[in-house]
Amino acid sequence: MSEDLVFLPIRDLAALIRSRQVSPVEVAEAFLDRLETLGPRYNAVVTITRDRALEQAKRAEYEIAAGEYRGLLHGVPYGAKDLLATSGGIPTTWGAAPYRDQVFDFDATVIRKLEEAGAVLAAKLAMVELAGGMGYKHADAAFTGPGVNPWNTGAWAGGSSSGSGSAVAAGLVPFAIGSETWGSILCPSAYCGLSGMRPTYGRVSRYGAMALSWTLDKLGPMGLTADDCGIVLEAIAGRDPNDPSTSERTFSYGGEAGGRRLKLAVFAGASENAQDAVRRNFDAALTELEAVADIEEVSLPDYPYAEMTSTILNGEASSIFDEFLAAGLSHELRGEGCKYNGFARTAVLAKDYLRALRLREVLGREIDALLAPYDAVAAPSVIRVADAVDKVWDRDEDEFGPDHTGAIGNGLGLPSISVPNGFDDQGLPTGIQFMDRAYHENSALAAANAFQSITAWHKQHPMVEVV
Amino acid sequence: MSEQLSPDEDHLFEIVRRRYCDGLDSDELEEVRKGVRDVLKQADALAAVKLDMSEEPSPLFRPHASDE
Repeated sequence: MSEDLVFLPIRDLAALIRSRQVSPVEVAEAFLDRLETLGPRYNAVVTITRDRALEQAKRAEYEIAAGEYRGLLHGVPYGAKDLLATSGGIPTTWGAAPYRDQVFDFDATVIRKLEEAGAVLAAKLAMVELAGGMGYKHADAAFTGPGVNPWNTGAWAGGSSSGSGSAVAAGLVPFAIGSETWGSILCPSAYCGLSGMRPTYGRVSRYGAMALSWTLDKLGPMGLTADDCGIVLEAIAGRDPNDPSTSERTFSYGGEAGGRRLKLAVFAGASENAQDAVRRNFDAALTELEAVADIEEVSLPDYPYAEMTSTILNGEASSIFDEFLAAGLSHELRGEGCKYNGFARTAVLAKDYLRALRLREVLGREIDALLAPYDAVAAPSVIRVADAVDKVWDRDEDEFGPDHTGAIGNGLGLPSISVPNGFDDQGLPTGIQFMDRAYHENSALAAANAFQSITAWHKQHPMVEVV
Repeated sequence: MSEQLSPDEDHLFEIVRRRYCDGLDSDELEEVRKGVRDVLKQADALAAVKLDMSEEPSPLFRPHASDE
């Protein structure tokens, strides 16, 4: 192997594997070597699962040689955010020092489904401790250190799925699984120049995943292309008796095929609070999209979206981490703010939590009706580029204002995919997201695929030298 | 200098401080207090939206019956 296999979209890598031009073992060893040599540079990896990877790769090699090809992920390595339970003595640390020796005796449903698809688990990837649930103030909030951005090692990789972002961007794994409660897939995907998808809430089983918020947590794919995300999502989606929130609705990826002209919405003022480069690249992307889509501006009804989603998150997280906080374990976390920022949310009153849940139902209907005429709504994925890795965020100095699109999408459980749409003057990536109605992932994927069919941002990769 | 706390903020902060905040210095306590204030501001914003009594949260609870 060689470097030729790095940065190949899944379809291309799968074609080489299926035609036996490369063996799954060869592919696994190549990516395992990159994880070992380059992973520390980005603080991207918690555990390299070499033994399990090689065992799975050998099985894939045998099955494919026997004509038992399972599909596009057969023999393809991946990394999983380290909040997904893995059996076989592989630690699952949740990115937090108090859990660094935690071991489960079962695989999370997502891990199991990927194994059934023939994928090869190569690594457990770094993350902000407790998925950012304790309110981190700077990037150095994981026992593995701050997530470092492969595009600029002075910048943050984003969070909380930091290692999932940096590992895919640096070509350490072909794809990864991340999780999002509010921004944790889209943020590192945008910051690292990737394609990353937050599925509809309940589309992917959360069984075996660390809980931060029972009604906000989603698991989803991060890859090089929108097509990669669709392929992986099809493998991990589906009803799971172990997660009662999963939907009976099946998901079959619609593929890359385009041809139909799209109809996109843009929320009025969607980029007005964004950093200059983000706004500039978003506006340029909309101009490019006019080649494949009709675009209309729509006005958002005036509701407290961010307050609703924050109250739900605070109410659920305060219950989930009640014993953790009461035991004083937050003082063992690495991020300074993480030691005490989880305390205030215990002040959420039951009546206010329930009011947020009731409002969610009203807004769910209104936003669904608003989005119904469109294939997707386009918005900046994140309204800024990656901050410096040593920046401290001050709650009193938020220069960009509330994240309405993220609050709506996460609060209402809507799917969204972020794809790269350019760079700032320092060479840091920006992203555009396509969000859609619940269970309409294929529409969002169609918009993202269409954008990638007329642009080449997703084909650019950071200079990663193997020393 | 922090903002003047309302009585609700004051009381809720005191509960949080007493339950969890042993060993925090004054700057850290101020951060916790700001967090409590944010929680209450969010609640006020939610209360400003009129909701009919019939607007229910999505049900999470399913009665258990072992013979079902």
